[in-house]
Amino acid sequence: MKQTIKYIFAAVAATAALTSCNLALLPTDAIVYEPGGQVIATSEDLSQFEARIMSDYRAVHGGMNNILEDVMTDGFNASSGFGNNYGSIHRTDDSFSSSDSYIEAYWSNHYTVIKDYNVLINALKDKVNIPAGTESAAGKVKGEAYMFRAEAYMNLVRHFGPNYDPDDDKALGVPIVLEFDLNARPARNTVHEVYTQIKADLDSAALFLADVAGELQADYPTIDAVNALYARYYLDVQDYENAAASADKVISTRKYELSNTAEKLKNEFRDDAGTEAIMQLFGSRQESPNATDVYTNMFSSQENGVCFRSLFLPTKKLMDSYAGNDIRKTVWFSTTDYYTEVNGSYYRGDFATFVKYLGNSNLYSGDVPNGVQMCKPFLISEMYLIKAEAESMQDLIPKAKSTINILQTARGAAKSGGRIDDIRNEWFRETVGEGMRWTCLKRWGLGFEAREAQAGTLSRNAVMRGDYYDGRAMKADDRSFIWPIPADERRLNVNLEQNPGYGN
Amino acid sequence: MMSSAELARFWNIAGIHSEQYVKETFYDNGYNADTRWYNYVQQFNNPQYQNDISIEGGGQRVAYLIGASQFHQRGSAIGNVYDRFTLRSNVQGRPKDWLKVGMNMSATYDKTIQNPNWSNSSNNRNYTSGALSYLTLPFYPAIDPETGKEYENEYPGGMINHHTYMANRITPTERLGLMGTAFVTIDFTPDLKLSSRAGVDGYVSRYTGLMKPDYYMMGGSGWRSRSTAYNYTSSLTNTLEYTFDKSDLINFSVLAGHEEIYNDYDYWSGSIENIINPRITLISSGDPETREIDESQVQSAFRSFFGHADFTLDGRYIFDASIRADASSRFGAAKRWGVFWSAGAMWKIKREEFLKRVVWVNDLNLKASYGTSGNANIADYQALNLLGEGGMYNGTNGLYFAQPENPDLSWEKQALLTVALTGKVFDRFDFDVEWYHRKTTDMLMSVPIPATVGFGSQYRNVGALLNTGVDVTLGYDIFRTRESFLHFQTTFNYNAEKVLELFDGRDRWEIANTGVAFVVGQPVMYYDPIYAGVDRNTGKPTWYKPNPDDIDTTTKNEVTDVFSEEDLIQNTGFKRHAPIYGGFSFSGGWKGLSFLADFSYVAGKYMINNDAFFYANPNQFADNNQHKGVSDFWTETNPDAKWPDWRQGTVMQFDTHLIEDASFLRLKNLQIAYSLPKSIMDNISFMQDLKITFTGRNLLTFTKYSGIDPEDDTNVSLGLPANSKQMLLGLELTF
Repeated sequence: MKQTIKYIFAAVAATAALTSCNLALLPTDAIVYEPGGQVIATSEDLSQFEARIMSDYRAVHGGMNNILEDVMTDGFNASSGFGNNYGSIHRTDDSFSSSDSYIEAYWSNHYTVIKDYNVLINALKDKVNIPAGTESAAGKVKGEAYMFRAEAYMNLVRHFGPNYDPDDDKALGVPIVLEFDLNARPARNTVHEVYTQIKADLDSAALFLADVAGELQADYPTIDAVNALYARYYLDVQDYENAAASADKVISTRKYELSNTAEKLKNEFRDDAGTEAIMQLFGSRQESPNATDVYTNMFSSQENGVCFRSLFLPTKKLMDSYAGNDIRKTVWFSTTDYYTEVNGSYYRGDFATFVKYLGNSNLYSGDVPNGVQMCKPFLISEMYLIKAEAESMQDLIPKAKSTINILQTARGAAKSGGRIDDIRNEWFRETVGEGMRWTCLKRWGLGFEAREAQAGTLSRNAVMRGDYYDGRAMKADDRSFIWPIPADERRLNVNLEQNPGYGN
Repeated sequence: MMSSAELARFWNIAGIHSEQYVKETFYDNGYNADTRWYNYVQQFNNPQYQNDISIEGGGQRVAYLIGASQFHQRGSAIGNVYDRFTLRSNVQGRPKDWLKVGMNMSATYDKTIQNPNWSNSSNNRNYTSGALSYLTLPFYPAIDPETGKEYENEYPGGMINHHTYMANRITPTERLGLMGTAFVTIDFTPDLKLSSRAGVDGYVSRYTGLMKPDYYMMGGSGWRSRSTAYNYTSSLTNTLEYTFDKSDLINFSVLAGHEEIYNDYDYWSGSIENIINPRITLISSGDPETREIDESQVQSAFRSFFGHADFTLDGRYIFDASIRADASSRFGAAKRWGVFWSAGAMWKIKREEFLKRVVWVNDLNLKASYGTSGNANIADYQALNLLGEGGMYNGTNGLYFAQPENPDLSWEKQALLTVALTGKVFDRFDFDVEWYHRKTTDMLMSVPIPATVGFGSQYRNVGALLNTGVDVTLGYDIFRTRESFLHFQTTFNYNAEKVLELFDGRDRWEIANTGVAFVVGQPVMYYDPIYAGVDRNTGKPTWYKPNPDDIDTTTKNEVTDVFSEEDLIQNTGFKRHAPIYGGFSFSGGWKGLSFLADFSYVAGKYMINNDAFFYANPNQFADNNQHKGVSDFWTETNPDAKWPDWRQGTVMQFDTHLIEDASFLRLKNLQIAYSLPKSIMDNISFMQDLKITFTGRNLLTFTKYSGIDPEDDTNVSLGLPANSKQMLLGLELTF
């Protein structure tokens, strides 16, 4: 008996030993697939892949993507309490180096989304790999990916390469990556090659999105958005005829109207309910777009309610650029609406704060605006500016004048002539905060003389002073007009050459 | 740090802010205090309580132990509290002569509250609301002149009152842990036994986050988040062991076994915004449009087969060997299994004839062993090619290529060779000297990938690292009598580290924003621009140019006053990991009184003091208080100053001026205890023993390091106190 019990125990233990667990465990939050196999297998996969590239596209707009260009140039002063946020970018002193974390993020964010665009484009390249019944949807999604890739490369080459020069086919742009390859260590392609790729992608986008008609505030790409991007492209490659024609294609649809009253302009930005957006990406409180909060940085104070604690304040030059009745000045700048906290004290009425991106009240909870607005990758106003600049560059001064006057009239601004300086000044007034100033100055081969601060900010000691703050002048040949290739990236990829002025 | 008057004077002469600026900005607005901010933001006296009780008992066939303990601690950050309660019971029984069973169970409840707004310095930005509060300007008052009390919500200058904040910010993490093992041992014969052990170790945790809507900063809109995690590890081990110990000449045992381990982790969280009523603040109270939810699940499994044998000859020569095969679910399908083995020998020299008669040698042993082992300490599923979800647009969740496969992912291997001599001589001096050679290969590392590929990194088996060193432990009884003793003990470790191989065939890898580099043939080193001090003639900061042919070999030949991180980075000569660790202790007793003083030291330790970038950088941080030392700056009449000429707008950079010698000697532990004499205890019938103890931790520190804590084992110290001074009084009663 004793022996029997003993062996029963042993048998139980042995059974337990054999109930072993599975070693081939798979995740529940991901789909495992064979490399080289069909990536997009169902129509559900397709709509989810589309959602991803849309979300990618939104991630590289607004917020930091816009802030960098504006705080780097002559429209803004760092406030005395800016806490070194965007410090290296604003000063562009020695600390603006190839190790700069903002520049590094800009580079890697763009290549990360390009990877998603590439995977999608290649997954749908061959007809056999398109899930049955989704051919037309797949074509549209592919067109979207081509358009996004074109824009991503345009942003990269604008920042990390010199201006497009028709006579220089050696100048280095950025590496073109069109396929996923874990082991690729690509060298920089030339600026010409990058723009050729952008054109090819734009042509593909135009083909696949030909039937996607434009509509106001479209939350997916349309043919009008493709044309708007064509306009940017042609302006960059100095094909002014096509730049003007592309911009005009969008303008002449008459689907997008310039706001011509303060109320309408306020709706356009503050409430994201305007008439100017060729595209306006979906945003909600769950899907919060990037915040452009550095200009307001609002908080709720104990004594004075909701207040500004701006990190960047508009310069005197920016404020002085607007004529008296310009609705942009009254809508986009605030002097008396809220108190501003400076060095522990509260002021109101002394200086202007930039409030174009105050925050859409549908995108935040509570009563403290947070600088979150829906992304508007293309606005009709930019098409007028591109058209006018392209006309002016072709010496079609009267045409340029009439184009720019349409914008100026709508904004209640003084009408100017059609000379290039007039158009350039209008760019400054119109696109402030949209992340275009640095690109514009670069395209024009211009720098700026210092960043004189508003008198009211000086008397309240509200801005940082010094050679690299309000005293910062940037010549047209300043090294920072071409951003450094991130040092980390160069350590991992020895084939990448550095831009001049940033070391070896 | 400077006082208000010192700072105003310094700003003026350094050309940072004029007297008029200070007057207009601060004094005219009523800000003329001289506040020591850390007094308001840090808590320095933090009581700590601990209670333990345990009861043992049993009879011939059953033994039991039950116990309970409680622990409470308050942190130095306002609002930080930790509580823990533990229950445990162990039962062992022997129902038959051949059968032994037992079960150990313990349950733990703990609750952690951590102030989430307690930040530090990171990269090139500071956040003065927490441990870096001393950077806040001293001009601002902490006391509201109208009420005579601290400002309730926020102080002038914008720093929040953490007491009020934590009263409005609910943030406990609670954890209920359960651990249990049960075992059965069957003796087939006295020499052959089968053991089976099953264990479960798991916890359920919940987090509640709430920001109350009526807190002044929230604008009437609060938010709440909840999360729950469920995690357990189950294991089953079976062993069959045969022991032969009947002979005087030969003893041996052999063992074979099998083990399965399975881990399951399951997590979900939800959050909501726009809670408007401070009296009902559930997740269901907020605005459904702001709902967010998240879920994740991870499983892993390990399987092992192992065998072990040891063999003793004549009590003098001991040999042992083992072999094991381990498999992990984390690795590529074809690379799951790893085979590891070890072999060792020990010679008990004292038992040899030639030493038996040497009376002053009490014990002497020579040991040597060599063995390999594996490490699978990475996240799960890293080998697989994955499409993952992420990035929502217009309510549809995105799907994307989330992870490239690495079918070759496998075990990290370590080979360790040790030779040791241990023993005791003269009845009072014991020693243990060990030499080791530890080589780690196929290291599991998150290998960085160029951003152009579209992924930041991938886990791979790359690289090799060699550590060689000696461990020495010495003990000496200074005296020992019936009533008193004094003992000295010391430990010492010297370790030499050497990188043997890196990924992609490269011979150097500088890890971004850490100041640390792996270079083949060297220990892990700090790589940074080397600060060369202030130029005597110009007052500008200067740096050494790297050797143009080889940045790994520092020459310090040429100096420049143009800073460029990428151009100037080079081997600083400072090792990331200190080569020498050690400690020594004195313990003693006299009658009922006993003490232990435990010192530890680290030599050759260097750290980047990131906080100094803020407190000694007056131009860049012109709205922060500064360290007194920065007043010693270059002027025409002070050409040998420590700091450059601030009047030129000079800013300090991330370079070796921030790397400090963080070697230290510290009194880690001081314990003094007194037990009431037996003569008194005999009169107290219900109690056996009464002991009063005092424990002090980190009471004394000797270091050149100017940051907060030299003991922090990190490359960059970021303003967080790591090892605080603690004092404990204890009472121990035995019934």
